[in-house]
Amino acid sequence: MADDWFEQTITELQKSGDYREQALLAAVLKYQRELKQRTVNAQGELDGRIWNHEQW
Amino acid sequence: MQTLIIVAHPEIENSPTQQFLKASLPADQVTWHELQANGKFDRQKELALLEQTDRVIFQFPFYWYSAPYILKKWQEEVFSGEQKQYRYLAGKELGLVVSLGQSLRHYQAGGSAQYSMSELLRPYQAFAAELDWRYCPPLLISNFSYLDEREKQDLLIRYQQFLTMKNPADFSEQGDWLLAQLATMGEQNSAQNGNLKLVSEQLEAQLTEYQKLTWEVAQIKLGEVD
Repeated sequence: MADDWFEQTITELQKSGDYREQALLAAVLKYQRELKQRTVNAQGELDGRIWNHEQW
Repeated sequence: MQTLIIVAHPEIENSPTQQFLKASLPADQVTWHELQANGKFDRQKELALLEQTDRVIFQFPFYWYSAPYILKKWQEEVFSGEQKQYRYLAGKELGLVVSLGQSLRHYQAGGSAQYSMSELLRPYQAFAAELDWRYCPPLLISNFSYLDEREKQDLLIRYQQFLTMKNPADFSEQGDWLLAQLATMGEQNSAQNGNLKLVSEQLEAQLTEYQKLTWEVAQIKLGEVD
């Protein structure tokens, strides 16, 4: 839900922004999508390393 | 941080690429300096410009595997003395913004140009090393006229980052740069400032969460034995 809000708000802001602002907002959206994926990956790696029985 | 953009192009006014880059310039911290071919360069004036800057950009189209001659003329006339005369300029960064009429895939072993851009641009890397400047990975723009709107907007941001962002910048630092740009946009755009602030706050919270996770992973790795 929060992510939908983020993307919708960026899209709304782009409608009223000038070219440079639209470019910045597009970059923010692209970055945020990668950030979400990296966060999922980092959480997975953290869980995996915590449950690594060879290190117990 | 101050950035000096030295533009070497025979027809800047007629170049869509150069005009796009000029229109993409950040509002401050950059100086756009077009090299003109009338007479000799004023050496002291050019050196004073360099002294005031932290990052130097050579921006040019790639003609016959090199820059237009005006850039070589500038180099020879400004750096006409021995290397030790320029020690006071040490520690700067050199970045190249190079526009190409062909796709980048041609510039590799086996491609039609046979050589990579890293090889072809080596003289600038050597120039930076001679002056004790740090050579940054160049920003290469191929086939500008074929870019669609989304790609042009992406180029606009990559160009601004090339001019003003820490180089190299890791993923978190790229996020910090974007947050700073959003803050500036909010200051200039009072009607949208409320929503921009909310967007910034959410992005910042997500970035903090990501940084916390990567820190925790790094700590666990430190404690692991092979």
